[in-house]
Amino acid sequence: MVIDLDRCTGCEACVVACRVENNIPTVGPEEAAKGRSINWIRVERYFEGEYPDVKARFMPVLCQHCEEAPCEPVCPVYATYHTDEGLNAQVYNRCVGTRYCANNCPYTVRFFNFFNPVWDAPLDKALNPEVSVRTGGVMEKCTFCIQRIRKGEDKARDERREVRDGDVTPACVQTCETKAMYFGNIADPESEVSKLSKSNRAMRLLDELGTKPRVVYLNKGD
Amino acid sequence: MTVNELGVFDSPQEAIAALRELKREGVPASSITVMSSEPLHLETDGAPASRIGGFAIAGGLIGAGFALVLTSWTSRQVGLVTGGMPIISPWAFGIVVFELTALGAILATLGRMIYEAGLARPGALIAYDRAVADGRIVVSVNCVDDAACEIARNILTPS
Amino acid sequence: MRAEQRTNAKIDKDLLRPVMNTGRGWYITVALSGAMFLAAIGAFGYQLARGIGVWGINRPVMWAFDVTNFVFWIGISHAGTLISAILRVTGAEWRRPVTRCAEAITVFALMIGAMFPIIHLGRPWLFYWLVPYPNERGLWPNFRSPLAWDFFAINTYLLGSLVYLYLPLIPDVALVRDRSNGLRKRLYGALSLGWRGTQLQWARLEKAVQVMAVVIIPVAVSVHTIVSWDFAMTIRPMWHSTIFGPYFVAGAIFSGIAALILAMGVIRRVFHLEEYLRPVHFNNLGLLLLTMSLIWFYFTFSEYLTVWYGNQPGEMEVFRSKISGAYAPLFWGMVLCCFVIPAPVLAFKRLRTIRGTVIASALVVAGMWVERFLIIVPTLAKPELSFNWGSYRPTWVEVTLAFGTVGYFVLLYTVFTKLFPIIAVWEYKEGLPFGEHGERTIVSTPEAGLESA
Repeated sequence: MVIDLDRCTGCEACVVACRVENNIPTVGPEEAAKGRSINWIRVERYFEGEYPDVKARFMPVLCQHCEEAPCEPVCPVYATYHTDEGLNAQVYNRCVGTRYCANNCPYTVRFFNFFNPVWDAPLDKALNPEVSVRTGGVMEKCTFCIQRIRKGEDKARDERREVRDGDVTPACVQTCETKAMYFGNIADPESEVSKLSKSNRAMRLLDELGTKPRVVYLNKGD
Repeated sequence: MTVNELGVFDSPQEAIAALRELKREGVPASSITVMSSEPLHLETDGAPASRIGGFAIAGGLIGAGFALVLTSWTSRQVGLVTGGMPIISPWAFGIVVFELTALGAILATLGRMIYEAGLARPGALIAYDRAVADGRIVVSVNCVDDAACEIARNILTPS
Repeated sequence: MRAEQRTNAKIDKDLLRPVMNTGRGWYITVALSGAMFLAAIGAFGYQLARGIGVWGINRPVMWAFDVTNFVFWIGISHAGTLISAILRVTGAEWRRPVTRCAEAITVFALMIGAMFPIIHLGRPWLFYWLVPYPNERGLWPNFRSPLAWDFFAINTYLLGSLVYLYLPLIPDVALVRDRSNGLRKRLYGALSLGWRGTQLQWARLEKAVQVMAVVIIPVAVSVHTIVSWDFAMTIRPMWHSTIFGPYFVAGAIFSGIAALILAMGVIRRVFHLEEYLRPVHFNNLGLLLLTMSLIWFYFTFSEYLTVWYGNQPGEMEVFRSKISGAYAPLFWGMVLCCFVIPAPVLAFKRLRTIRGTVIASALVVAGMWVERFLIIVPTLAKPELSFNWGSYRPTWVEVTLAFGTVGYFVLLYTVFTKLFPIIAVWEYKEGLPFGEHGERTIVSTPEAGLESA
């Protein structure tokens, strides 16, 4: 995934789209005040400078699907592992809730269901049938909309061709109004993400930790 | 039919004196048992050496082997990549091997000790007198015939 | 040279009195600690019913009281191993009245510590997935995870400590068997495995205990090292530190000795064992506690100095929060309780009395609990991406669980003192030379300032 920070306005449409697509529960104001709200993608906001020269920086942060993810080896029950496609998978049914993975994620992108999720009517009618609903005591995080990835792959297989740009669009990428987000196959040299990740604006978050994140940020255009 | 003759003594010195007499009368050392409420550290001549140490090492090796197989085989069965670590991660698995080595040694020590001490079997508490609990020394002689029993009885229960 | 004669009968009477007679104080202690334990069970039941959200943990502070208690109790469990095993291996005679007291602490502290990894799970009813067993899903635990290492380490140490407690217990169980009748005689008879006290059995017992002592020392060191690696194997600031292994082991021995001194102080008073647990024992353990306090200070200073000097931004945020920020009162309180007050009290012979060592130990135990908390929470509260910084406050559920497990420990220990003599009778007698009519001599030489007892 490539995210162009010079285009991001901080509108948080991606946050809303992700929560609708992936059945993310709302925890309520008290729980949110305790720091338990679940946002698989969030827009981090930093302010630089003093008034009147203040600059607001927006950075959408989601699971980086690190090549060498620190969250994976610490799970004692294999509830999170690396797929052949390079995704960091989270298996809800296997998670026993040690929360070790969340403690080892330097990006703080993992979210825990402290209670059984509840959807007040009529939101319970808006659940996406293609995504499972998680129970309390289980860890969850961005999956790069794996349900859409599978759909795109199935379509490509039916048409007897490789997956190409446009087959798979996660909810956040689809919704971004400034087209700040791109998604595709980095192994395909023709894909947009492949070309953009070679830009001289490209950088990765917390690169020095050696996690090899698969989300590329384009920055420093101004 | 073997009989056990028991003698109860108030102090180790008296018991040792009786032991010397028994030896002088030619009673074989293997038929004499000295029981006490704490170790007396008498010289045990001809007693077989303990193999608890050897069994502990063997138990440790078995534990190590089991751990190696458990970790390596199951990781290959599951076959999932975590954090870019190899499927067989020797450093990480080595820790489990270490622990199970120790566990093997511990269980082997316990088992062998119980076996060598003659514990945990029916009839373990024979030829015994509760006087041991009072701090006295009980000497028992396992005699095969009446003559031997007579000798033993004279030494163990004088008067 | 002053020599004190004491008959076998008197020693037996004194050391078996708690087993044979039950005072009112025992019932009261059991009732109170049992109530605390039940409160903890109630809190856990509430948590099972409603979800782990009834705790104060949140994002990013996903571990707090739960893992603090876990590390704390495993740390306390290092009392028995040090005293029993190392002192046995080195042949230190003064250990004799202290060994079983210490070994019992280890077993019960381990049992309680081992509960917390289960209690802290989001779905505790699935804890058995950490056990390697063949199943129809073809799934196994991930042996690369430090939590999986914890499973093996703690279970090995628990089984080892149980064996190490049980073996020297057998002759005393036989002692109680021979003084009992009826049901008690049958139960203790079974537990004593038919022990007769033959010289062959004594020789085998001593050999087995020797082997156990040698095996259990590396196990104990490895257990708390592995527990520390739950943190050190991560890449979080002020967690990813190579010093954690030795740091935690030293801290465990430190808190373990303190817990032992506390337990001995209570037992001495409550069971009137003043003649057996003498000032020399508190003196020697107090000196060990002083040594551990200095070692703890050395490790803590090393850790914080390297962080400060290295000036890495992520680490400095956590460092500042502990030294001068939100966690500063707890941090400096900890330094006070673990070093500033205990070290002088234990260093000066005039202050190193029984009362002095017990007070110092109580402070150390409290201080070390806070130390575990401060290792865990400040790091989690300040993750790398500062937008996600958070804080933590415990709820009544976590506090009840913490105190309830203390009650559980007291309960287990109190019941243990009822079932078995808390001072190993045979081992104690073995250290006393024989007199003519079965009296035992306790010899003290004023020059050495020590008593052999």
